[in-house]
Amino acid sequence: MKIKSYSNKVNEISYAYLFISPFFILFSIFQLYPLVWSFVLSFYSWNGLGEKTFIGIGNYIQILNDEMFWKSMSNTALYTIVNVVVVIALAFIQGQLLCSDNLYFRKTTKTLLVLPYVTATVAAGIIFTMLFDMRIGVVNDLLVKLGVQRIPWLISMEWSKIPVMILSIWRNTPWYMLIMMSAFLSIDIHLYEAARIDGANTWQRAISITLPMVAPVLFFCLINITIDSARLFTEPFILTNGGPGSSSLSVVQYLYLNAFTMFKLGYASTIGYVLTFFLVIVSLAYFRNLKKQSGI
Amino acid sequence: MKRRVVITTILLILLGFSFVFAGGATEAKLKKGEYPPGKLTVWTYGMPEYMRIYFQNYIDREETPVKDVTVEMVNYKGEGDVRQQVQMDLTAGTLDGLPTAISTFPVSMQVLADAGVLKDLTDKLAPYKDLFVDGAFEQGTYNGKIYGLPYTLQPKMMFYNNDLFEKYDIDPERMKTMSGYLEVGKELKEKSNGKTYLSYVDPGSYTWRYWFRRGLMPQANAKIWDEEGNVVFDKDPGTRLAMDTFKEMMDADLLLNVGMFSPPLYEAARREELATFYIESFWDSFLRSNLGDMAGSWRCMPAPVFDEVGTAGAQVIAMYCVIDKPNNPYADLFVDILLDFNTNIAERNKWSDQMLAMALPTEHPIVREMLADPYWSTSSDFYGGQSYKQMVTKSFENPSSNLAVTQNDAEADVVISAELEKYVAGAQSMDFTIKEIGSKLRSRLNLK
Repeated sequence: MKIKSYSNKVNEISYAYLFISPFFILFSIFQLYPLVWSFVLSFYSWNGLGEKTFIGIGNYIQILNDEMFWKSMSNTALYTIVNVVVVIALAFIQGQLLCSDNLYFRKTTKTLLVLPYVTATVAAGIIFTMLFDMRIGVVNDLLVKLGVQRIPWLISMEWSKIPVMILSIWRNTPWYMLIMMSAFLSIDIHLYEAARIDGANTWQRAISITLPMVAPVLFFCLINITIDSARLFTEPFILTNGGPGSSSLSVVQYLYLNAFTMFKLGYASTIGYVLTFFLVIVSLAYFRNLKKQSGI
Repeated sequence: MKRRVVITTILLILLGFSFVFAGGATEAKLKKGEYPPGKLTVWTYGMPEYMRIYFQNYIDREETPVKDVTVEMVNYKGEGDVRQQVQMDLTAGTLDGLPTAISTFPVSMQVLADAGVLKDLTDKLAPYKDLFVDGAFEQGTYNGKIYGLPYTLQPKMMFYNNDLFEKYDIDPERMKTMSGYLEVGKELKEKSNGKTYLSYVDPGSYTWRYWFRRGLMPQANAKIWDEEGNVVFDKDPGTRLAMDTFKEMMDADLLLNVGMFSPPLYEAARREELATFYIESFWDSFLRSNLGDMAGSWRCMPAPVFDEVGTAGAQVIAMYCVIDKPNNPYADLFVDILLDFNTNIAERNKWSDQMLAMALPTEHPIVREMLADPYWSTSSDFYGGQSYKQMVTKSFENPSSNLAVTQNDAEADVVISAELEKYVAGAQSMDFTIKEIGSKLRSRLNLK
């Protein structure tokens, strides 16, 4: 009996491993191995062909003095902060709007608000380059009608980041809006009724009921939008190609430049790992804050 | 029962995989000059459809011993993407996935040649070299071996809106020299009350590429590197001449800040806000396809020269390199077709007419006998009766030497372009730009 029961247990465990093995095999080949390999590559100088040259921490030392890298990091930090604040705020407001009983044409509104997310980024980018063109762009035409001078959106170092941020916010908000909307729909409406009876106004209900109830979802959105923004590539690539100078260059775009334009694969791997290091620090800060707030 | 189902399923999946990775049938023996049925693949960029048509015309000809071979031109965004794809296939060991040939530029050609990826075509092309114009094989030669087979050279030219010059009573012949070109620009600006710009400046990387690397720098005899590969950009007098000329244009507000290849650029030309394009001969196809409504307004001439130096811009090569891989049955066929493209006058002219009818590029010949053919002096309605073809041939006559190419050039281009973009954006002076370029090239590339 004992042997049969042990054998059954072994069988069960074997089946379990068998069924999860496809995922882990694929994960090991396509994610774990490249992760480890690119870390090893960051200690080499390699142009993708021929022999690799071991240079120790040479790439990491070079990155400390690489002005273009730190410029791209500061640009990316700005994109991340603006994205986090604006996208979450807009997603919150739009989510609330879609859950409101007073909203007419709910389905149409939802479709229109989601459209930016399903539009191909490259196509949207090309349209945005025409919208923000200094001389024939619609945005400047509107500004002129309002009595404002034309702004060199895409051709000046001061303004080049703005269209990038606008495109990124326009594209990303719908996804987080849908997430927030489903979080709002999961809140028990009786809580609002009880609060109304107790005399709470709209603002008090939002602060005391809505926010605490969606806090876990909000945290999930914060982590996601932070990581997504840190990986921003398509928007600056299409709109400004990271220029003028490196005024709108994102760190992933700089990584791409090093890997596939300059063919410095070792250095590009280093950039990837430095970015990962910063993202890990930011994520740890988020989790620490969450722990503090939940009192654990 | 359940166990048997699971085991049987796994075995069937493994069996299926083994069929996928199993070897194919053995090839039939072929006679010399015959080619097996299959696909001749070329990885390229730009507008490869026009070259594919010539290849297909060759295969379809009754007299050529080629049957059942199709041509596939795989279009990539640029030369870097082609090289990247080659690298990925080599790293993955999928040599069969590599194409017969690729388009590339000298920088990548050198790296790929060093890695043993490219076929040495020296012996194959030796009997034909003398047929080509001087310098045709210069950029495709590395360490004394020919890796690149050119199919055209694009000289620097000047395309100008003749209607504007007539309107403001300015003689375009004054643009034969760089000093004359600048004077014309100032006069256009004045007479149009500031509306008409001499030319454009791209806010991004195209300014370095089209204004400098292939234009002002070789024309001014400028250098980025010396013979030992050290950085001389910031000390070289030719660089100073090129940069100062550009600075003069910017200071006089002669250049419209607008993206290259963008609708606003063409719109500005249409609205008489852009008078000239100082660019390679390929610009002809962009003018014809984007400003077809301005047919008759445009003319062309060789690029203006610096009085001090006297040469009219570097010629940019368009070339293919053959991949050196174990199984490349169409390597010789590819070279034969390219040689036919360069030397078969009747077929080339016929193809050129096909291209013109479809508003596709017609590459200018680089073989002396073909250049002498009357077809390559015929007039063009788009250029108001002027012969664009004849102007391209004329532009071959006085070329500048190309900038010396090293394997640091890809990174140098990024560094130089970034600083130039800052200058164009008004963020720094030209003196500071030159100084920064020199300093950054040395520190990034660890050079003196």
